[in-house]
Amino acid sequence: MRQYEVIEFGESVTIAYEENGVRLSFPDNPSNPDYAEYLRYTAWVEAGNDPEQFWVAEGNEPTQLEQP
Amino acid sequence: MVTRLSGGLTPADGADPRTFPAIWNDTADVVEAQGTAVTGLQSDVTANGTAIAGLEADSIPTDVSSPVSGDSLVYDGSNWVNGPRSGNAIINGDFGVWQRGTSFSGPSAGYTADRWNDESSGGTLSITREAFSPGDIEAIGYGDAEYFLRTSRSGGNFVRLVQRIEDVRTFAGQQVTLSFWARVGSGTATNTIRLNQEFGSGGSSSVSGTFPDITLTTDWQRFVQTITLSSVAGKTIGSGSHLDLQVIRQIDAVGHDIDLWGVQLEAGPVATPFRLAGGGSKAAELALCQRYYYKVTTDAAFRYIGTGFYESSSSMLIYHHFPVTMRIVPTLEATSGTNYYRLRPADYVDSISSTGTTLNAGGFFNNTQASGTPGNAGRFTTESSSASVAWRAEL
Repeated sequence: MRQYEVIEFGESVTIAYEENGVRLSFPDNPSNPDYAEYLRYTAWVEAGNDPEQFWVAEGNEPTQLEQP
Repeated sequence: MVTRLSGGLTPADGADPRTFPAIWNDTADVVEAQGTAVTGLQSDVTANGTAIAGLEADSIPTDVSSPVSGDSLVYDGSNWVNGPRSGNAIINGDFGVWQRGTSFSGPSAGYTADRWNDESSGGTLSITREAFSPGDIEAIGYGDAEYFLRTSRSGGNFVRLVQRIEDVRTFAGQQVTLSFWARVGSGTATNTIRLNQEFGSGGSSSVSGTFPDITLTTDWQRFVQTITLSSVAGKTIGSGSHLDLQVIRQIDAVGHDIDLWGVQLEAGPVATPFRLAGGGSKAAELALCQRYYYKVTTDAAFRYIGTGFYESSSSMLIYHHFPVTMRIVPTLEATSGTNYYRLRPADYVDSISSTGTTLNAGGFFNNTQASGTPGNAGRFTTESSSASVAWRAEL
């Protein structure tokens, strides 16, 4: 399961997570799709849903799992 | 009324011209050309004031619709038709830019050559950059072609190679022509191309655009397909909307090598000669790619990334500008591992995070391992061949 970190550095807020040896970090900017995904994830969890189910819920699954 | 044509006229020797500047004037009853013989026009024609005899209507067939000022005509081999109103919408259609590397594997490789995303499923996949042989280049017919993309798969469910074209309004309601060269390693394979309109986050449901199936063979062939995209009138367009071109899309090709080059998508019903989206300049093509992805490092140790300094006794900061303005405020992708990075001459750190990122610049910082004197500066370098730093602003 993805573990997000929220880091404040100076005046900036960075959200980060690690996946397969790569650290991804992005600003709290609405145009960034990773941040948009982070917001959807936090809303999902705050609504009382199982965090692990977020990644298989409709609309969140990776596109490569679709059939052609 | 007299309409005068100038430049780019039909060659007097009868060779097939590639372009013909059109002048549209519904009220014209005479057409003049200056200094060059004109053939095949379907109205009264004079050259330098002298009538040209012997012209017959339909001596050159035309199939032209809805012209607007500034249009050109192109000869499609049998007819004059409306020329393209745009350049190539496909970035890196010649597979000349590979910032992420030149060899990829997996059931699904993700982004490979710049702008090209592999969404295949199952089995074992490899995607590689391959150099053209002189014979290949002769078959293609473009002397400056250097590399093509090869996708190889054994087993699995399907093969799908995609380029996302920014903004679903692109070509909406218009006829578009897709062209590319392709071949398979052995036998034949059916390719079922799609050009889907994706309306982005919070937008309308996607609309599928389907091209007729094509059959790839072991010979390089240029395939040309034309469809009309749906209008987006009345649709809701969300963030990240795009066209989704699935140029390789096969379920019967599992086990094939598929080679691909020269992908072009343009407005109108004709495939014009292949041209890079950047207009032909390899530097311009790289800049277009860097709008979506910028690789800072070269996956090697002891490479200079930028100048850094200690902002406090426990935090280091490195700031740099992007070579081009990025599509969105990007995400930093940086590999992490023991002592991957260093603020020379002292500190090693395992990982970095982004800070203060804008469309034009971004910073890296570490505040978990850094230890130094505030204000001291140094070179920030990679210390491992596995260290990789890139900014991502893909769709």
